[in-house]
Amino acid sequence: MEKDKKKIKILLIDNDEMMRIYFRDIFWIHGRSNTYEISMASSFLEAEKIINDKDTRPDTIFLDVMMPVPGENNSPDMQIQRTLSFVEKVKKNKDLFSIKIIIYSGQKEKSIKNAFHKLGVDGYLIKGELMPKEIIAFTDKIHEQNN
Amino acid sequence: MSKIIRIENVNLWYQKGKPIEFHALKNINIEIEKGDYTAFFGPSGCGKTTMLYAISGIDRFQEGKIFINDRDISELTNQELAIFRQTGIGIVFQQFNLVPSLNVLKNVALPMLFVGISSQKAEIEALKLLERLDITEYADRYPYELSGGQQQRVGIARALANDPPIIIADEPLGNLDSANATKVLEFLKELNEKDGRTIIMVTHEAWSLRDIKTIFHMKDGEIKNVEEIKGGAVAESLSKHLYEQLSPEGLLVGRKEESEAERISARVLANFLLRGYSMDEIRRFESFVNDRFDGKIDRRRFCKLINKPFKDGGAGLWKKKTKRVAAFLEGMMDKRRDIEHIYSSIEKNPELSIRDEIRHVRNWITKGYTGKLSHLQIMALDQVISDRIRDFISAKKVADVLDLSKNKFGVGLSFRAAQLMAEKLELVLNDNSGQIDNKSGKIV
Repeated sequence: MEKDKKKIKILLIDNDEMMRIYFRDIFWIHGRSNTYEISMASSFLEAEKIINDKDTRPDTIFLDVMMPVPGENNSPDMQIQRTLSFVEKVKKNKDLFSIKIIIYSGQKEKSIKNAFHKLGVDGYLIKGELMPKEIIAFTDKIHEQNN
Repeated sequence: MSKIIRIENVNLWYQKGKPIEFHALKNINIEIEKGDYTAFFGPSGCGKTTMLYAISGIDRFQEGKIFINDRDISELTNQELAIFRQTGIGIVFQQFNLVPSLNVLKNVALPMLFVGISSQKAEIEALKLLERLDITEYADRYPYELSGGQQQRVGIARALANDPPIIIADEPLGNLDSANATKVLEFLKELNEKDGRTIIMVTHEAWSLRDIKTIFHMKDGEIKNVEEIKGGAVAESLSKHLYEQLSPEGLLVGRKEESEAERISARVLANFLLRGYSMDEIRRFESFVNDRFDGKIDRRRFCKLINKPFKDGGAGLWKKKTKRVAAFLEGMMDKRRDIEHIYSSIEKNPELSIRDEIRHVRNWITKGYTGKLSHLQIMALDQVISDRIRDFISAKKVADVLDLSKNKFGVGLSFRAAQLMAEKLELVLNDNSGQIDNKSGKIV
């Protein structure tokens, strides 16, 4: 139990199930389950539940950008807009703003990157450009900085 | 050290509940530490490859648990298993298993594409791996354009594709010549020592154990013994001189996979005894041997049948030959009982002295040898028999060592005598019988 308390909590928000499993399991496979506790959400709705509960609130969020919502306008712009709004909401909330947000997306466009950086995200990773161990190394690094 | 793999009470059956049910893994309980270099060692059919496939999540087991980093893989969903196989474990196969329609670079990049790495990134990483394996120059070639050794290096590069912490090597040297086999062993050692990866090898050849830290001896689906090797003292139970002499030289050239059922076959015996006879005669003789083995006919009936002219339904052996062959067969059947006894003794105590039994076998295989054997030669011969019984050396190697000169710690027999004795030894061993090549009459 003592050990569990010290774990760094990470939340991955991604609508792609394989991506969620992949991201979570590489930490396990490389023997890092004692350092990190990974939770997953497939939508903002699920994510908010996890974030708003103090017991499950993450230290860091890895966030996909393009996540269609059933029954909503799912044009690319609208999807990006919804993700920007989510980031803004977290960053403006005094209880939540210390949560690190790392964008983890296939979107390479500079204008999109800039929009997220303006809102104060802590990193921007392109999916498919990092090997499993590089994701772990990045995660280690951003948590080292704070310690 | 933490346990990267923990196996608890694992039982695995093939065709469970069917008449051909086979209990391949029996009550396996072992642990493997992170960074260990281990081998599952034992004769063909002992369950060692099944063990690998259970750990890799390829073969599902019916009972027990396998924990990887404290998580039970028997509880994983198919999607989770797929990710585990792609990123957790790199498998090096005996048959290389490269995709023939893809060039080397793409073969190595392929596992990365499966987990969503972009093709550009995958090719950059694949190139790094080719550099590491010193095969960059073959990047654009197709597997069929490469030698076995080169293909196996591509196989290793591919196993490393997603940077897995566990490398599984399933008889990785089986299709390689000695120089390439040595290279592969050196590379596996590097992956263990330099990268800190956990390596699990399956092998039935003792010399490939040279860098291993932990050996799991397997027989009949069970772990019989766990041997920890300290300070590079490889497999203490191995005869030192044989270990030195047997390290790769020629051992692997032309070796055939020994995955088929390995009871001593009447065919081997027929080919051995009836060299120079026609195929039809050999086949008919073989069926009589089978009947004799199964107890369907007695010795007298067997003699009669093999002596009868071929056109009358017999095997057409001359009278003198009939007598010799029958004596040989009966002697062999007796010795097989002895060998079974030796096996059961070894099982009870792997280090038990089997000197007396070995002496019996030696007397039998040297019967008819007209040359004189010195005391040293007899000692060396006993060592060969002992190592062969324990399956530390292959059938082919027995003949090589018997033929090897005395100052090289061999037995120093003539080539012909060495071949004959090696063949006789294979015939009395109920397991792992070598195949006799029809044309050359040699064990292959």
